[in-house]
Amino acid sequence: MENLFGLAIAFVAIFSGLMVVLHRNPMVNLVSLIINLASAAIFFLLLGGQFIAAIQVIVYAGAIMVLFVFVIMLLNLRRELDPPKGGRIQKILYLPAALALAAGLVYAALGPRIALPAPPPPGPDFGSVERVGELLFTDHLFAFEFVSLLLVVAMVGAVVLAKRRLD
Amino acid sequence: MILPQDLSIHTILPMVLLSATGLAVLILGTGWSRTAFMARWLALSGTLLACLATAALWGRPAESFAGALVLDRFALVLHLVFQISCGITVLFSFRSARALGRRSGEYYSLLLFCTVGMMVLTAGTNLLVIFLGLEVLSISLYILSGIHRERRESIEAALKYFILGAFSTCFILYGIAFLYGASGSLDLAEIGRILGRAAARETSGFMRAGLGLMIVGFAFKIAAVPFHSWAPDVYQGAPTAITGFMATATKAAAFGGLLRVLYLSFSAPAIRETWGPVFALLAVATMVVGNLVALAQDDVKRLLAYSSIAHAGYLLIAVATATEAGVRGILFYLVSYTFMTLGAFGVIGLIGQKEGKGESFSHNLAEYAGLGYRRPILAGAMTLFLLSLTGIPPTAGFMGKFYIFRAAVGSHHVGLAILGVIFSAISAYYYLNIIVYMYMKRAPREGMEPRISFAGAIGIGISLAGTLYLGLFPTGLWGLVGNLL
Repeated sequence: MENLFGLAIAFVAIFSGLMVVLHRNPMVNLVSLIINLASAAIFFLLLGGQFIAAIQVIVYAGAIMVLFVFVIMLLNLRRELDPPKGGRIQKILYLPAALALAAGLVYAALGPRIALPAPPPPGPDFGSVERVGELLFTDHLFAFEFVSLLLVVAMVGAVVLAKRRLD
Repeated sequence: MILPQDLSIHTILPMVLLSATGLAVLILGTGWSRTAFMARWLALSGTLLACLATAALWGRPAESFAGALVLDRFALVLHLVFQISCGITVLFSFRSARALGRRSGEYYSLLLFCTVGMMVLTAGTNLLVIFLGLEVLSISLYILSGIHRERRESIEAALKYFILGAFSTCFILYGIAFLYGASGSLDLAEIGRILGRAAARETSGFMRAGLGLMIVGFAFKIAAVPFHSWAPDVYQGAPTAITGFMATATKAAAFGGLLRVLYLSFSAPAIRETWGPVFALLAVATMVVGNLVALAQDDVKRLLAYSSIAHAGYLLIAVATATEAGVRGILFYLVSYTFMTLGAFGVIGLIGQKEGKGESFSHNLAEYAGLGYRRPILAGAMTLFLLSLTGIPPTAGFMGKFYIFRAAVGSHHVGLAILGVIFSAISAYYYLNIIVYMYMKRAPREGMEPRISFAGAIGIGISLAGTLYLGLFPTGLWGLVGNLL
C-alpha cells in the first residue's frame, strides 16, 4: 500500500517536473513547481523524516514560491511566452540528447548494485528535530557554518548586480 | 548534550583570515572613497597573512571538524597557489578596479570569498563540503565576471557563465546523489572503501552513473571540450584581472577537487580502468579544439582563453594516466601555469588600460605592434610568459610539460604524449605570432603608451620570477609535490 502510494507520488513528481519546463505559461510552470516540491515533501514523510518534510513545505512551498509568484506578477508575464529561439542544431539534437542521457541513467540504475550492509534500524527519534539538530552541529558542523559564507556571497552578488543606481 | 569531537580550529585559520578580511573589505569598500582606497591594501595584507598561516600548517597533516576537511600537503600546495593567485590579482586590480568606484569593496571581498571557496573545495573530504566549496567559488565568479554591469560584454559573460555554470552544478549534484545511492555515504574515503571492496566482483551501475555525471560537471568547470563553450565569451567579458584569476586559480581548484574525488573514491585498480580512457578522450578533444581555434584568433585576450582550454587538455593527459606520477605532474604544472598565465593576463590588462575610461574590451593584436620598442620591459616579460606557455626551456612551462609527458610515457600512454608534443608545437605558431607583432611590426600611431601602475609592475615581477625560478630550479617544487594523495 505504502509502496503503491509512493509510486503514485513519484509519477506526480515527474509529471509536474516536466510541466515546469515544458508548459509555456509561467503561472502553470510555477504551480507545477509547487506540486513538485510538495511531492518531495511527501517522499520525506514516507521515509520518516517529518521535520524535514515540514521544513520543505515551509521554506520551499511557502517562502520561496511566494517570492516567485510576486516576481512573475510584478513582471506581468501572464501571457504566453514565445518559444525560445535556439540554433538549428540545438533544435534537432536536444530531444535525442535528453533521451540518450535518460536511457543511460535508467540503464545504470537497473545495472548491478553493490550489496550494502543493511543500515541499522532507525531509532525512535529518527527524523526528529533533536536528531536533525544533533547531526547539524556534530557531523555536518563545518558545512553548516560554511553555508553562511555562501549566503553572504549570494547576498553581496544580488546587491552588486541589482542595485539601481550606479555610482 | 553532545559536543563535537576535536575541531582543530587552528587548521582553518587561513580560511577564517580570508573570510574576515573579505567582510572587513566589504564594510570599508562601501564607505566613502578614502576607505575604498584602503580596501585594496586590506585585501592584500589579508591574503599575505593567510599565506603565512597556510605555510605554518605545513608538515602537520591535520583533519579538522571531525574529518570534514583535511589539510594535507596536497591541499596546502593548492591553497598557496590560490592565495598567491589572489594576491597577484589584487595587485593587478589596483588600477583597473578604480573604475568600479564604490563597488570596488564588493569586488575585493568577492575575490577573497572565492579563494575561501577554492580552499574548501580542495580540502574537503566529504561530498557535501566539496559541493559547498564549489558553489561559493562559482557564485563569486559569476558576480565578478559581471561586475562591469553597465557594459554589454560583461553582462553577457555573467549570464552565460551563470546559466551554464548552474547547469554543470546540477550534473555534479546529480552525480553526488547517485554515489550516495551506490555507497550509502558522503565521505570520500568511505565511498572508496565500499566501491573498492565491491569492484573486485562487480562494478555498480549507480557508481558508473555517479562517476559519469561528476566527470561531466567537473569538465564544465575546467572548460574541457566539449563542455568549453562558455569559456571564451566569459574570459573576454570579465575584467582582465579576474580572467587571469579564473584561468589559473579556478582551474587549479577544479582539478584539485576532481583529483581528490578520483583518488579517494575511485582509486581501486578496476575502477581506474573505467575513468582513465574517458579522460584520455577528453584530453585529445580539448587539445585539438583549444589549439586549432586559438590559431584563428586576432584578439589577444580571446586567444589566451583558447590557449587556457588547450592547457586544460595537457593537464587532462596527466589525469588520464591514472597514476600518482600523473598527480605529481598536474600539481607542478598547475603551479607553473599559474605564474605564466597570471603574468600574461596581467600584461594584457595593463595594456588594455585606457586613460580615464577604465578597461577596454578590445585587445586586438594590432595594439601590440611595436610594443617591444615602446615598452621594452613589459614586452620582454610578455615574451617570456608566451615562451613559457609554448613550453620552451628554460621556463616553467617546459618543465611542467616535461613532467606531464614523462608521466604519460611512464604509464604506457605514449600516443597521448606524442599528441601533446605535436599540439605544443602547433601552439608555438599563435604564441610566437604575438611576439612577432611586438618586435617586428611598426606601431600604428604614436601616443598609445600604456601607463603601468607600480602595483601592476610588482605583480608582473612576481609572476616573472616564478616562471623563471620553476624553469631553472624545478627540483625544489618537484620534491614538495611528491606522494601527496
